Amino acid sequence: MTDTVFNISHHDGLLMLRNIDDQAEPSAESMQAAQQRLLDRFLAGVEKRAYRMAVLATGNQDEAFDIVQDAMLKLVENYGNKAEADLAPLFYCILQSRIRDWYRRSSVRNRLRTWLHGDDEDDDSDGLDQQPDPAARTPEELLAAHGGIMALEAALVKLPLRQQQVFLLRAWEGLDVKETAQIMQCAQGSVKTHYSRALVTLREKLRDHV
Amino acid sequence: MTNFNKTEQSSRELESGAACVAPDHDVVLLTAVRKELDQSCAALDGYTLSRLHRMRVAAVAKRAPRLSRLLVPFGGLVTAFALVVAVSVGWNARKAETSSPAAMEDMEILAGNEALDLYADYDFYQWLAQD
Repeated sequence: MTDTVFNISHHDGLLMLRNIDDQAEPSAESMQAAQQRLLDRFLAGVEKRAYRMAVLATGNQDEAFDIVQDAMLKLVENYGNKAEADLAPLFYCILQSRIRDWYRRSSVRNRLRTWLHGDDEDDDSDGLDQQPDPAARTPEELLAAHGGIMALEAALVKLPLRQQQVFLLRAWEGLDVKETAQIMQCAQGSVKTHYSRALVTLREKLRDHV
Repeated sequence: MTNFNKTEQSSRELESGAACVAPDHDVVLLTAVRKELDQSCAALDGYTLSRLHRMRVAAVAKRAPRLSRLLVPFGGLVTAFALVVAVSVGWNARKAETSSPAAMEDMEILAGNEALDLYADYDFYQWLAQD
C-alpha cells in the first residue's frame, strides 16, 4: 500500500489539495467551479439571516427579497474572487448599503405622498377600517400566544433603523465593533452608542418575555 | 472575527463576554434574542426558502464564465484596431487629396493677387494667343 502525498496550496482563498505526483496546475475551469462552490456555500449560510434582517428593516417581504437578491448579485459580480474570510464583511456591507438606499427612497416617497395628499388621504374611506375588529387580537394577546419571537420582532421593528441593524450585526452575527463600524460606515463610537441604546430599549420591552 | 454557523459558539462568546462586553443580566437577554432569531430562520416557510435558493443559484450562475464575456476584451481590441485603421486610411486619403498638384494650383490662384476674372476667361485668352 502506498501513501498518497498531497500538496496544499492557497489560491484566492481556496484551499487546494492536489496529489503531489500530479504537478499540473489546476485548470481555470476547476478553479472557477471551486470558487462557485465557495460562493454558493457562503450565500447558503447567510441568506436566511440576511433575509430576516432585511424584513425587520423594511417590514416588507418583497422589498426584503429584492434587497437580498441585489446584495447577492453585487457580491458575486464585484467580489466573486475574494477569499472566504473577506466575503462576510463585504456581503453585509452591500446588504446594509441596500437597506439604507431603500430607507432613503421610502422616506422621499413618504414625504412626497404627504405633500401631495396631506394628512387627509383617507377622506374617501367609509370609516369602517377605523372601527375595531371584534375578532382581532391585541398585540399583548399576540405576544402571549406566539411567545418570544413576536415580542422580539415587535421590539426590533420599533427600533430606529441604525440601532436595529447595529444590534443585529453585533448580537446576532457576532461582528465586533470595528467590523460593524466598517459595514455601517460610521464611527466605532456610534456603533457603541447605537448598540447600547438598542440594548436598553430591548431590555425594557422584553422584560416580561426573558 | 466573523462568525456564521455559530449558535453554540456565540453563546460561549456571549457568556465569556467576547462578542460584546455585556453585563451578566444582558447575557441572558442576548442569548434569548439570538435563540429566537435563529429559530425564526429555521421556521421560514417553503416559499421563502425556495425563493432564496433560486436567488442564490441565479447569483452564483453570474460567476460562470460565458463565451460572450470572455470575448469582450478581444471584441474591444478588434473594434479599436478597426477604428485606428479606418481613421488612418481616411487621414491618408484626405492628405493625398489636399496635396495633389491640382489642389496646390487652386490654392495658388486663390492666394494670388490677380483678378479672378482673368482665370475665368482663361480659355478665351489662350485661344487669342494661338491666333
